[in-house]
Amino acid sequence: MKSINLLLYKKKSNFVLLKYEKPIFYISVSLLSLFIIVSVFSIVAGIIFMNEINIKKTTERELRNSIQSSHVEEGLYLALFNKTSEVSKILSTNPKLEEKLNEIYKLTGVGGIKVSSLNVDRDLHTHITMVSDSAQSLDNFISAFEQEQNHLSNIRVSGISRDKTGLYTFSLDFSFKKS
Amino acid sequence: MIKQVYIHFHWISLSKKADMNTKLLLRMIDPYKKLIFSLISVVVVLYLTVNFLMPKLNDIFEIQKQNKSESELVKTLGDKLSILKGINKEDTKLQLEKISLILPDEKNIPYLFTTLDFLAEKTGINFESIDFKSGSILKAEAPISRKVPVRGRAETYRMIEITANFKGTEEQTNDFLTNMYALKSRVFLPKRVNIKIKEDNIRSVNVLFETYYSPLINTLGDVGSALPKFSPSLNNILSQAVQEEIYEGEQGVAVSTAPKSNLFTY
Repeated sequence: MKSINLLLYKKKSNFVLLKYEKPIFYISVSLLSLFIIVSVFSIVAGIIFMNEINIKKTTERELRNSIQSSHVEEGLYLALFNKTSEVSKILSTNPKLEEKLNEIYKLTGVGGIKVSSLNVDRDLHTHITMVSDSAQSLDNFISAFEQEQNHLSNIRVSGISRDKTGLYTFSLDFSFKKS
Repeated sequence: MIKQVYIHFHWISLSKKADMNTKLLLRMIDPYKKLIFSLISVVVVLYLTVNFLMPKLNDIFEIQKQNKSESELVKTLGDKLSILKGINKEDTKLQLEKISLILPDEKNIPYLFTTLDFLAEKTGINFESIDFKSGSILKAEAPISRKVPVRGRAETYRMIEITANFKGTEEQTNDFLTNMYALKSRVFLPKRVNIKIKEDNIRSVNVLFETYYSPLINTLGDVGSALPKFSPSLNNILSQAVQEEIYEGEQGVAVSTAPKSNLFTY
């Protein structure tokens, strides 16, 4: 028997976990305490949250009833909002062509040149037909127009002709750069 | 008898042996009792955490989430109710009537013609012709615009394409085109303008434009949904529409729909 005890004590001293017996014990006690605290906390939190939800559900029901009784006001408000936002969308998605026409008038208001027709569309593509009795005026106009590269694009002379009376007709295509 | 005595003694010896073994075992584990307690408690805590505490904590998080969404819903409903309480029914009706002159609920062809005549009279231009794009005045064929992004209440506006030819001076033409956008009458937007300038500086204008109408909403949607709020730009449009004197058109005369004997008379 003594020999067995001796053997056990000998083994005890060799058993590696025994060296950390105290820390392991403290850790396990801490874990146990933590478990108890968290369990208690979760139960209390659950009760508090459930209570809050019940109060809010009651408030929600009361609010819903009040809103339902104001359905006429809601209908009027939504109709007004929808109409106004649609008007806003319609106006904002379309460029003001009359402003572009004024710009074209300014650009083409050069001596010796007369605009005979102009087309402008919503994509701001423009086609102008102009007449002039002098080739020099025409050349001056084209040179002046080339300076407008900042806010115009795709400037292209699409045709120049002269009739028997010596009147020059030329057409110009360009686009306004969208701001 | 001898056999029974033998069994009895054998039993005693066995019990003694077992007792000794227990004692031996107790003595063996005595130095490890703290360690064994620790390990058992860790295992038990882990088991309870995984099987009971974690699901419970998940439930708590779910309840908390539900609580949060309930708070948001109550806030939304509260905001909605405060907006609704602040609405003056008569004022809103008046605003709606005004904005409906700019964007009518229906295509309202008589109003469309009288508005164009009003604009022509106001700016001094002379219409030579007004043509509707084929099919565009039929409700089913009128092109539909993109959807208005109001949750649960998507309504669309529809457009009617019209081509008009008119004559006028430069000033009159510009006035006419400017007045189309000015929110002083039903809104018309030019899509394409062709101007021919004649010898006497009179312009012959061909304009393709669109006018719009938008049916009123017919459902309110969910009570819990939030009300959209007027942005500053929407408020600007609304206040402009309310302050401006918008052309209202003439009251149409009711025409009898009773059958008549001669098709070629009014």
